[in-house]
Amino acid sequence: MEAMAHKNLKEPIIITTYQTQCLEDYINDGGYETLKNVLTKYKPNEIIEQIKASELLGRGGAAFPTGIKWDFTAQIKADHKFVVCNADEGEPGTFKDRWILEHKSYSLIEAMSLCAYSVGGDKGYIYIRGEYTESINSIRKALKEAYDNGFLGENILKSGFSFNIELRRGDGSYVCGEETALIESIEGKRAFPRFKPPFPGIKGLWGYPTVINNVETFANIVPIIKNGADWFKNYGTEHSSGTKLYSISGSVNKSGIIEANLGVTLKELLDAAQGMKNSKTFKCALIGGASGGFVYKDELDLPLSYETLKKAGKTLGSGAVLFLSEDDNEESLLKNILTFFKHESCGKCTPCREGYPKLIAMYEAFLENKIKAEDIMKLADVMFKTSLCALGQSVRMPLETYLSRKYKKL
Amino acid sequence: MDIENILKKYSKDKSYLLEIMHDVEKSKENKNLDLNDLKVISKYLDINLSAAYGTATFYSMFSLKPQAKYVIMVCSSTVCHIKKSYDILLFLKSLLNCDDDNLSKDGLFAVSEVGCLGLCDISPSMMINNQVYGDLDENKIKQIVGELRNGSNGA
Repeated sequence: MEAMAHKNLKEPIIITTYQTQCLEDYINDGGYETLKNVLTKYKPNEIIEQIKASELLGRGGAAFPTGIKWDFTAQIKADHKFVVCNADEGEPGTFKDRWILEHKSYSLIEAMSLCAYSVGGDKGYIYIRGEYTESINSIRKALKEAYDNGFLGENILKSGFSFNIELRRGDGSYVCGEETALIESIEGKRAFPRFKPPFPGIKGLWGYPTVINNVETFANIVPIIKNGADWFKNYGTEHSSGTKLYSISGSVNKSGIIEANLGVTLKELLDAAQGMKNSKTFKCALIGGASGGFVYKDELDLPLSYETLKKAGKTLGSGAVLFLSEDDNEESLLKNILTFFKHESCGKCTPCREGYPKLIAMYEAFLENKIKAEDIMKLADVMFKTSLCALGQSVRMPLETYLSRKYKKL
Repeated sequence: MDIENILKKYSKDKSYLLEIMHDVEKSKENKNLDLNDLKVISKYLDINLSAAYGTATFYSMFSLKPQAKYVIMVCSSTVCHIKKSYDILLFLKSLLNCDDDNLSKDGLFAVSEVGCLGLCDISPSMMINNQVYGDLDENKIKQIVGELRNGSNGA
C-alpha cells in the first residue's frame, strides 16, 4: 500500500525526497504495470467507475469530482478528445505541483494515458508555467522515455490504443491556471477565460471535449487504479477521500510539502512543520493561497478537508498553508493580495479589471478610517457575483475572513 | 539558431505559437521579440499579425524591448511578502544602482517584482534568467551579484 508519496501514511509527513527519478526505478517499482493491465483487461467505463467510486476530488482548488468530470467527456461522441494537465501552478504559497512534476513525472504520464483510454482521448497536453525550468526539463525527459519505450505514441504496448502528449510552456500569467484561460493559451491566444457553460468537458480545446485536471489530481490516479477505490477511501474523511499535499510556508521552523490525510488539523500540520519559528506565537494561517481565507487560533482543531472548510465559510483551495506569527501583519498581507490580483487581472471582464484598482483605493481609505469595512465588502460582493472567473471572485474570501474577525460587526 | 531554423522544428500548428515565441526570444542576443519576428511567425502559422502581437504582449515573460543580460525576478507574493521581500528588492536596487526603469547603471541587470514563483519553501526567493535562488539575505545577494559580475556564476 502506498499513499501518493508515502507508504502507509498515518501521521502527516514532511516530504524530504528530492532525488532525481529515473525510468528504470519507476518500472522496477511497478510503474506502467497499471497501464498495461488496464489496456489488456479493462474496459474504459470500468476505469471511470473506479475513479467515481474513489470519490477523488480535483486537487487544483475547485474540488470537482474527477470521475464525474471524466464521465461527461466519455459520454460524448467526437472526432477528437483531449486530455490536459494543468501544471500552471501559480496560486501564491503553492508549490506541491512542482514537486510532483519533478519527482513523479512518470506517474503523471501514466495517469494521463489512463484518462485518455477511459474517455476516448487521442491527444494530451501538459501545460507548465514557464518559470518552472526544472519541471519542464523533467517532464521533457519523461515524455521522451515514454515514447522511446512504447508507453506513448501509436499502438501503446501493442494494445491498439494510441495516445500522444505534448508539452506547452506558459509565460508568466496567473490567469492561465483557470482552465478555459489555459485552453485559450494552448490555442496560442491571449489567456482570456471563456464563458461557462459550455464546460471544457463538453467543448474545450479547439471546441472538442477536453478533460483538464490539476497535476496532483492526476498523481492520484495510478495509486487508485492499482489499489482500488476502497483503499483510497481509507485515507481522508467521509466526504474528502485520500491524502493531500499541503504546501507549508511562513513563520514556521520547517517549510515544505507535507503529505497528510484530508481532514488533518492545522495544529497537526504546525507540529509537523516543527512549530513556529523563534518560539513565536501562532497568530493565524492563510489557507488556500491568495484566494483563500484566514484561519485563527480558535480554529486550530478544524479538520482541513473540503467539506469542513466550506462549512466554515473558507476553502482548502490548493492546500497552501501560510503560517503567520504575532510579528506578521495580515493588514499589509491583504494589501499585497489585492495588488497581486490587480496585476494579474486579464482585463476581459469589467468587474475584475475595474474592481481591483477601486478595491485597493477603498482598502487604503479604510485603513485611514475614512470608510467602513462594510463598504469594501459591498464591492467585493459585486465582484464575486459578476466576475467571469475566479480571479475576480475569490478576493471576497481573504477580505471577509480577515475583516469579519477584526471588525466583528460585518 | 535563426528564426527560419526554429520554425523548421515546428509544424504549422497554431498551438505552437507560444513555444515558437519562447525559442525565438531565447535565440536573440537581447532576448526580445521584435515586430519582424512576429511578422515571420504569424505568416508561418497563418494567423493575423495583430493576434501574434496580442499574444506576445499579454504574457509578462515575453519582451518586445531589448532585455538586460541578467533579468532578476524578485518574488513579491504572499509568502515572500511576509518574509520581507520588499527589503530584498530595495537592497538589490540600491546595490545595482538601478534607475527609474529598474535597470542597473551598467545596463547588465534589470530588476522586477513578480507574482509567486512557487519557491515558498525557500522564501524569500528570486530567479535570475532560469536560475533559482532562495533563503535570500543581503550577504547572499551581494555574493550572487558579485559572481555574476565576475563570470563565475552561469545564470
